[in-house]
Amino acid sequence: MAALLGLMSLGMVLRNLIKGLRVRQGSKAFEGIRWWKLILVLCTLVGYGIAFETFGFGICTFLLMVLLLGVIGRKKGWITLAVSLIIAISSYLIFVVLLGAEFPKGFLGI
Amino acid sequence: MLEYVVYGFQVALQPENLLYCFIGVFIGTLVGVLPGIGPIGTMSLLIPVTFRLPPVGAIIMLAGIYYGTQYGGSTTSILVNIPGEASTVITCLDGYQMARKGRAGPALGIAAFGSFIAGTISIVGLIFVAYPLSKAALKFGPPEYFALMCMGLVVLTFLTIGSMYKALMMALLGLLISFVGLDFFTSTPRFNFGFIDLLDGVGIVPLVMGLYGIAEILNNLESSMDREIYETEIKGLLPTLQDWIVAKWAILRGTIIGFFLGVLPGGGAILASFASYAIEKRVSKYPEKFGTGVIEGVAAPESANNAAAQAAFIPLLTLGIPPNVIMGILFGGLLIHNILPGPFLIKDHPDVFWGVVMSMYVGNAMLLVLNLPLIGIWVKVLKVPYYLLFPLILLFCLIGVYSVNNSIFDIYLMILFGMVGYLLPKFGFEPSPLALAYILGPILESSLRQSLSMSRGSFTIFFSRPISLACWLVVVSLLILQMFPHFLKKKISIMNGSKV
Repeated sequence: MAALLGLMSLGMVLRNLIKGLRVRQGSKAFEGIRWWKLILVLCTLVGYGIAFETFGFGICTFLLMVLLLGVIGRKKGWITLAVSLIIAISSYLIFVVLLGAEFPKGFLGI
Repeated sequence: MLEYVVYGFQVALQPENLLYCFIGVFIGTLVGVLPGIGPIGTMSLLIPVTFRLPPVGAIIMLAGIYYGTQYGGSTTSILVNIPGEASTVITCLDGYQMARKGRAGPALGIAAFGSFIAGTISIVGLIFVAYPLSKAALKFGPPEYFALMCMGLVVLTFLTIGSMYKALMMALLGLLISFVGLDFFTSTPRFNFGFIDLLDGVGIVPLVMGLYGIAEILNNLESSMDREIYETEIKGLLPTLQDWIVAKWAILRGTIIGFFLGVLPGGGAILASFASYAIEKRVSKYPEKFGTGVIEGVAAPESANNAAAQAAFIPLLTLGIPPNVIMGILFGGLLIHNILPGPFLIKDHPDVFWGVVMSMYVGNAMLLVLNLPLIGIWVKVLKVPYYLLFPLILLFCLIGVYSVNNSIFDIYLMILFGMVGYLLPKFGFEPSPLALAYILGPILESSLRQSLSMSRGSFTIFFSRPISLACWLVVVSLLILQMFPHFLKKKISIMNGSKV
């Protein structure tokens, strides 16, 4: 019974959501949005969460920066790599070494 | 009273606290200048950092960020027509026009001096109101607290730009989220859907960081990342005598409006700046010139937002009720340090109360120095490209949210609230009622249940006590007012700062 009520509520929510979207097609709320960027950012953040404990803070931060700067920021390869490396190293030094934050070390120990 | 003020200055002027105050106002100005991250995101980001600080220093720093952003936000509004903060949106109208006419210096000057004057008057008001209010609040029992918080939520939803019904829905959703976790009377798990991580409830940091930090970045990324930075020459930061003559009443009116709207639940700096601009336009002899670069159009909202930022501390420090989301974060920050804001704060922790209040005065003086002679530095900060800024903000969000409980689950929660915070405004829903209701939820629930225990289950307890009854009358009046379309139109025009 509860599941049925839940499904019905979900159906109503979806119906209204689609209706709302249709109504707003004339308005500017969803105009010109670069969805791929938003989806990529969200996927990158989820990926960071998934990989954080396995790969450790250092590597994950570096990969996060490469993705955000290179793919979304569309910077040149060497700039992306250099900036990502600088950010990863400096954030490791500030948060782990200086502030003593406890982050997962991953298989490489960083 | 004077001895408390002296004591407050003694606490605030300790080298350690001076440093925290400086860090706070510096970060506040920086965040105010940089569009893309606001005070709410920054404060929630820094909450984990404050765990290791002494309580007075932590709150002085967090408070500094809040009123610092009010100063910093005006710089971008005036120089590049991009509001650094929501509370400085209205400053763009006349501030940028003044800059285009070559009067960027006086605009920045009047914004900083106006903020300083408003801040000073507001602190004096805070000192005189807070002490008697906290004495009166000692007479408050759970029914009064419950009624007061319900009133706060209804006032917040009433003042929200847009539909009140949608705001009420958001407030209810916020309350629901606050109920997740163990019931604090019976220790029964509630709404955790089998997730062990949710037994402690939804944390304030993932919720606020998601709703404001991540959502803000998604909003900025949805369109082009290129920002046009104009080259503006700034000369003569001191307003002329004529400017002062024209702006002095605007500053005073802005301060008074800001002070009273800041104390109101849900009021805060944003509403104060819009309302003061609208009123300034109404009382002006030349309303048609507003928007073309009149100095009152800068002085009034800038004074109002700073006065409101400081007045907002009154309900938090005296009643223990945060009037807006930012005060809610400070409320959380105080609780983390085992300090319960409320009527007992002045008696139990005079160092926190008087130290924080007096640090605001010190902070205002620091901000005056930071914002006028160092304006060139902030203009350079504006040129930091967003493609470099947003990955850093995202990284800080991830690190900040993880370090609270060392929990990956909190990262996922933050992402979820980020998506929610991004989509809600698209459908006309404001996230602020949700966040404030979530913060007030636990106190609201415990007050309700304590009241009902006192009355053995009878709801008449809420209507038989005068303070509680008065609050309910306000709630009913606001809900009835909402039904009149004429009044609604007037409210919308005031919020938009137009047609008044």
